[in-house]
Amino acid sequence: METVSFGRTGLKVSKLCFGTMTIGSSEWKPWVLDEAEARPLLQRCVELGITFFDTANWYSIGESERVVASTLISMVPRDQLVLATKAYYPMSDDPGDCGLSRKHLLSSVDASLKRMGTDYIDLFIIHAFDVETPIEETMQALHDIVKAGKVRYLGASTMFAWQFAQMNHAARLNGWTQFVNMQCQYNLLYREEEREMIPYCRDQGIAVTAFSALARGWLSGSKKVRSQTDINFVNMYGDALDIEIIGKIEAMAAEHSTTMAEIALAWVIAKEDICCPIIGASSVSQVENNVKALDVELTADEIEMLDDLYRPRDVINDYVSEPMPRYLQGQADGTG
Amino acid sequence: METVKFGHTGLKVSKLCFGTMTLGSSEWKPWALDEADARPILKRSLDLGITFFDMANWYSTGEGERVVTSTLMSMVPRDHLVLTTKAKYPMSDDPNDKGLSRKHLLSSVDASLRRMGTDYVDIFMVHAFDPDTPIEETMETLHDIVRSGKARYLGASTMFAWQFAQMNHVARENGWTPFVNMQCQYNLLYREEEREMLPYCRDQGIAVTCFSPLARGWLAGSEDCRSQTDAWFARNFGDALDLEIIAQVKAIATAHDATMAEVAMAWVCTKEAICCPLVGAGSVSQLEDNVKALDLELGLDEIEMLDGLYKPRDVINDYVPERMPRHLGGVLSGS
Repeated sequence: METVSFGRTGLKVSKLCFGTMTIGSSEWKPWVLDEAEARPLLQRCVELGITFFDTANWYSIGESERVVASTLISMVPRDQLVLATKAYYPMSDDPGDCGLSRKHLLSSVDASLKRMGTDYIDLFIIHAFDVETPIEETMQALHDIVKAGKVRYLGASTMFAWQFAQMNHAARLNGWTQFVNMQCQYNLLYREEEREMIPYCRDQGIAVTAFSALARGWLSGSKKVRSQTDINFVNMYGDALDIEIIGKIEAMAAEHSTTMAEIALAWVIAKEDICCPIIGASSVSQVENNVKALDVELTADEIEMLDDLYRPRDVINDYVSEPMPRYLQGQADGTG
Repeated sequence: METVKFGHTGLKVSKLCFGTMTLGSSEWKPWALDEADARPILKRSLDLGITFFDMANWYSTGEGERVVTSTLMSMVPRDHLVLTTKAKYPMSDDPNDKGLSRKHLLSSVDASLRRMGTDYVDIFMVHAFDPDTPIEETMETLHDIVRSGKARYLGASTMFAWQFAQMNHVARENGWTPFVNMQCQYNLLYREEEREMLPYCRDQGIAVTCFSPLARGWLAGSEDCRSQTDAWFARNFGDALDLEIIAQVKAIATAHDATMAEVAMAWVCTKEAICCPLVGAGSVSQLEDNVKALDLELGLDEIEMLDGLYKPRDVINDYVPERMPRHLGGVLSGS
């Protein structure tokens, strides 16, 4: 698999990053794989040349970090892996056990390292913006974590562009470590980050990684257990335009004799602004399918055709509790 | 008229700012008023308590600044006025006679002051972002303009939130003067700035002024000269949802026995995120209409109803030459 430079850093990563929210403990969510089932998946990822793995403390409440890192480190020398984890979401009912406070971040990184069985994280990501903690407190704590050698680089996820820019600015003003990575949602059904976040990252040389490249499965044509049990994910997608776009992908997949997932992922891969798409998988065949997308060559015409289908929609993040529905002709009352 | 604090500054301004793009020279645009026609409107603005006047070098290519400032200063002492002007758009074919370069900004502010007949401008604004000039060059120059006494405060207009934030960051990182004002488009038909720009400005205490509160006349129910002659303005609005919102504004106006302009302006005035709406006027009666909006009290249910109509649309600015339409056109029918 191709190796790419991670934004304006010296770090090299595999073109695809494996997202491990689906790995950890089935007690956390019904669609999560336990350790024994996860092993062949991770093994196949490594064989296919993936070296970049993304987890989070919150995934299976710590079990994902443990299963993913211990399995990988049993197969590959630690230094050949690029491991990312995150902090922010609640790990317990303790009001201090979440967010981006100095107290939580310093405890959180140590707990992650212990579970992962390694003494450093390549990329430590704040999972979202914390409106209750001063930006300076967060950025100084992150800088201290980097200087302590526990983390090589910093990343961020799920926030508005102005918030991300403010955090980097606070770091720069104070001589602290800045973020080199933004992980955001990006796929054929959700392209709002093209407005502010992606141009900002391009300007600053920040590597953009994209999650939900298949829009929670909508773009692979599947109606799997996760989309049936996870209300939040289902509600994001599925308006008439989304269905239209999905239809086009189905048609294009038939023309290329490939799966819909390969087309949808190939479209993300074609975007220069995206450093690495994050792929998720619940089976070896899904991993293989995703990786095959690297070989699907969409023509300029096909990319343009897919590009043209999109229409503005509301932001999807933790700070917009009720996204406005998109305006669809003939549904002007907004109930569509 | 109410006086308001201008964001996180010591400056006080009238709640409404008079936007003077319509004043200057009819040779520039057919809807621009010449000096004699402008005078009664400016006089009436002052009578109504407006002290905050917004200009740009580009409006009537300099004539706007001359006509507005000389007329106002013949009626009111200079220090009682809050005057803004802007730079960025081309003033001639000379490649250096535009943009946010050090060369252009330093010449531009001097030319503006000369035309205005004053030795300072209260708020000097960058009319838009200049992708061809390093941000450091622009911000240091603006700081020099402030330090030399030619401008009291700095403002900006028409750019993405991340660009505006970057400009302020560069200023702060170098000890230069940051912007205290963002002037952006905001009205019932265009609310995209609610996503990034307004929250950023609220967080930073930056005063937001908004132009086009009537969406180039669409929300006033007028098919005026400007929307007929100015293709660029006309094509920003008018999709099916816009027309539905306009119809609701009309219904509320009827219920209040007010004009549509008053309702649309009153809606903007209810938004705490907006420090001052800009009012434009091609006549004394339009101006009076706009000012009357300050006395129109919309019910909470009416505000909520108007708020609930909007749906996301593409950005309107200089950097998005071809906007995605909001509605689907033929897409859904499988074109």
